[in-house]
Amino acid sequence: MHDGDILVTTVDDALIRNDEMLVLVGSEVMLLSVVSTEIARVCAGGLTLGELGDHLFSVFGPPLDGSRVGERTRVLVAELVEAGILRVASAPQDM
Amino acid sequence: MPWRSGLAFRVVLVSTRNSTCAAFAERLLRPALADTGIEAWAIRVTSAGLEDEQGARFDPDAEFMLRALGGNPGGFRATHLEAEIVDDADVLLTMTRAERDEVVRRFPRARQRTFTLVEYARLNDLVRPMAPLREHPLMLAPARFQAELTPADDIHAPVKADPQEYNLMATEIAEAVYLLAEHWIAMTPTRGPRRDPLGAARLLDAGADAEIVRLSAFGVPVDVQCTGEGGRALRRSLTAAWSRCLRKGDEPDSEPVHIEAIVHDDPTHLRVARARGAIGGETTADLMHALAGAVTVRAIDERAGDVIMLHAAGVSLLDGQVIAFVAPSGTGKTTLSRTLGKHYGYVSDETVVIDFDGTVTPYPKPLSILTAKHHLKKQVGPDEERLLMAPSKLRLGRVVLLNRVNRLDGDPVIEDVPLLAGMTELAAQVSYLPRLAEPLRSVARAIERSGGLQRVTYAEASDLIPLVPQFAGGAE
Repeated sequence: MHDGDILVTTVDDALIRNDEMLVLVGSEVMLLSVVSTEIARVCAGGLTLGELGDHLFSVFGPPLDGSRVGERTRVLVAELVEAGILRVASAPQDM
Repeated sequence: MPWRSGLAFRVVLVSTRNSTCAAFAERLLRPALADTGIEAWAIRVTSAGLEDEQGARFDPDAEFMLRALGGNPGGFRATHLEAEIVDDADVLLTMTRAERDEVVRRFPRARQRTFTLVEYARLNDLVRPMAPLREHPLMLAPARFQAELTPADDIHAPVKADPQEYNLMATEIAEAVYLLAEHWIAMTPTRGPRRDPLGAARLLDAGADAEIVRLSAFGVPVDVQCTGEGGRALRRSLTAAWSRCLRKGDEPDSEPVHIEAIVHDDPTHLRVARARGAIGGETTADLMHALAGAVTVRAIDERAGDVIMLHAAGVSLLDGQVIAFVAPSGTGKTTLSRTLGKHYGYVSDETVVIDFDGTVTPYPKPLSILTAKHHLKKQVGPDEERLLMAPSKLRLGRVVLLNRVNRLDGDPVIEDVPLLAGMTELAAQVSYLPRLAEPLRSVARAIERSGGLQRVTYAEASDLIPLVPQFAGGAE
């Protein structure tokens, strides 16, 4: 993934309560963590990977495990893509 | 009528080498399903391998054994198991535990949909879920983790070129496959009267002998046509057990779902009847259980997307508030219904149907009671069990997650459950959840309107009798 890749949330339905999000992807229901909830929320309209990293840093500060923001963001995004919650659109027309 | 979703139940059989066990199982399962009247549009069966070269031909020894059993290996080419196949499957059935673990390792999201073939057949037989087939993997999940798998859950992998080994493999696959087909037939809709290649009408004068029982399953009209030499006795049994679901009065607003049920001790008659979509059995008891599943599943299929349908036992207070006790199949809903229904209005032991405005449509079907003698679930009517009638106007009073334990010191424990965490648990017990408009929000509204989600931990159903009124009180 590159910093310019656009990330888009692709869930079928979502329910937010108290900073947590419950999502439906296909027939699978998943409860997202606070950080994943924020990622799904801000990517609803599309956001680049780089912008996402900056946003997460501004909301949550540096990663608690000491890793770099960019690295941590890529790990989280990869998990959400694997779960079907995010999609990587490489260009604006893919949104 | 086809599945209302329009999608077949998609089964993928998996083995290390597709060209051996999984292909063999695929070419046995398809005709086994066809023999019971299940067509490809209802259940689609394919196979794939973990290590095959794409396009490889059938293993010669497996092919020889398949032909010896009357199977057809024609046109087979191996398929390698890829993510697209896994994502598309409703259930993945491997031949061994090791293969199951490997599938889950490669495709973690498939964990809840991946079983060994023997494991899945065994769980179906144990739990007997009454729900559309696509919901079965999730419904079987609680039962699957109650015990470790054993070598008995593996299909024997043949040593190359040893006929006895292939025979053993074939026998084990056939046992599992036929057990699944037997369970699935009651859960699969039919297109209605169709092909009659053996002239069934000449063998069975269905018109002269047919006796029809007219039911209403949560608003869905269902006509059960009882045929065969045991048809009259079946009609009597159905009428008694389903007494609170009998349709009376005017013609229904919609075309009834039609189910043909035949009791006959001649396997040929049964085979012919099944080929045209009937549900057949040698005894009335066999049929009663299969029909309970068939009526429930077909009604659920008809109402997909229109209402919220919970796999739940339901009882009502005098004011019409319904407490829906949600639990997976095989974990005590019927026992709870039987116990509480003697003190509160009996709504259902299986399916609580909630409209978007909170009204509840009752489904007072027979209770499925396990008999030690036959290992079958006997269908006992609510009148026979002397369960109380529910008021005519019902609305949702509370959704309660059941947590039954073997032993509990003290009284049952009732606790509020945070909405989102509770819905994660509840989701597997909502039929056709994705078909609802705003699925999560619809269910959340129903729960919040009725005061929020609760969980009760208990050991004995009788301990909940005095507590039922405590659950209610949240309905608007």
